[in-house]
Amino acid sequence: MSSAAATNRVTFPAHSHSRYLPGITVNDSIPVVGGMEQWRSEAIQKVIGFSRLEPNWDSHGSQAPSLAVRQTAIDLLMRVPGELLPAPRIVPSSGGGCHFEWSVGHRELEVSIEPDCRIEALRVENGLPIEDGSQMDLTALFVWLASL
Amino acid sequence: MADLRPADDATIPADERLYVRVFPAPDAVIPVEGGGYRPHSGSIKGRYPDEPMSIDLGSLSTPEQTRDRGADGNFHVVMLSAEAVRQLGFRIIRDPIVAGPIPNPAHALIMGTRPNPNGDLEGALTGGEYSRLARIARYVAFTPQPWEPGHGA
Repeated sequence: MSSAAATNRVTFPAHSHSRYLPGITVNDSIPVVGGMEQWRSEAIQKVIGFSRLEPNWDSHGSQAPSLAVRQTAIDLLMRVPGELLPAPRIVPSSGGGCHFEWSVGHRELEVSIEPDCRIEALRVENGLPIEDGSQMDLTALFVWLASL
Repeated sequence: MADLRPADDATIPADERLYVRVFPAPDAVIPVEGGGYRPHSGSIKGRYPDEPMSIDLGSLSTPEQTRDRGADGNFHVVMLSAEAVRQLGFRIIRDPIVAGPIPNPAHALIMGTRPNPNGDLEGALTGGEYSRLARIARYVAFTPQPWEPGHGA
């Protein structure tokens, strides 16, 4: 088995954008064109719902994932190529993180957002984790997952 | 790199059941081909990434005791076999909790190979090791009230 250092670490590109624009209001009477896929909307709602976890939700003293963790998780979900991949399975992780699993055929991708918002990714093929230390950005990881 | 982990405890038999408490998030239960359900690998990670994985020995604890001990019982429980865990290269040691408000004579540890900052092995697990364990774990007890985002935990 290989070391933790072999686990892929992933960072967002520098052009990550803010979703919050002070001073701008939304006119709800204008219909939205080009909606979000249902799975993505539901996944974002799950992440938002983690804010409702009570202190000690895991019986080990953990807090709910912080706003920063949840925002990082939502940024991640917005980058998933929805036309290629199914909905991820999402759980809160002890310590205040979020953990995602995608499955496509015999390939799986696990992405962990740590409490300090670090992102770690793990590829799994035929049930065997690949901890080879290779560095792949998120786009490459999703392409790997979808390219069966 | 020094291996500071204790030796595997041979007094824990191969057919020992190892129980792990799991928070009942909706996505924590994953159907397995051939039947049964496994946990999400993020659901079995402990709070502290630099520590071994906590388990209960089935010879000293029922799944329900693991689910309820020191908590409100609103958890699921998964089971691993000691034999399967060892076949993946892990060590298992006893670690009974005798002091504090919640004693647990069944408490034990699975020791992995995640190195500490000095490169030494103290028993923490890598992400891949948690992933391997999640794939051989199976649910044996469910809470009747899984958590939903609309409710508190």
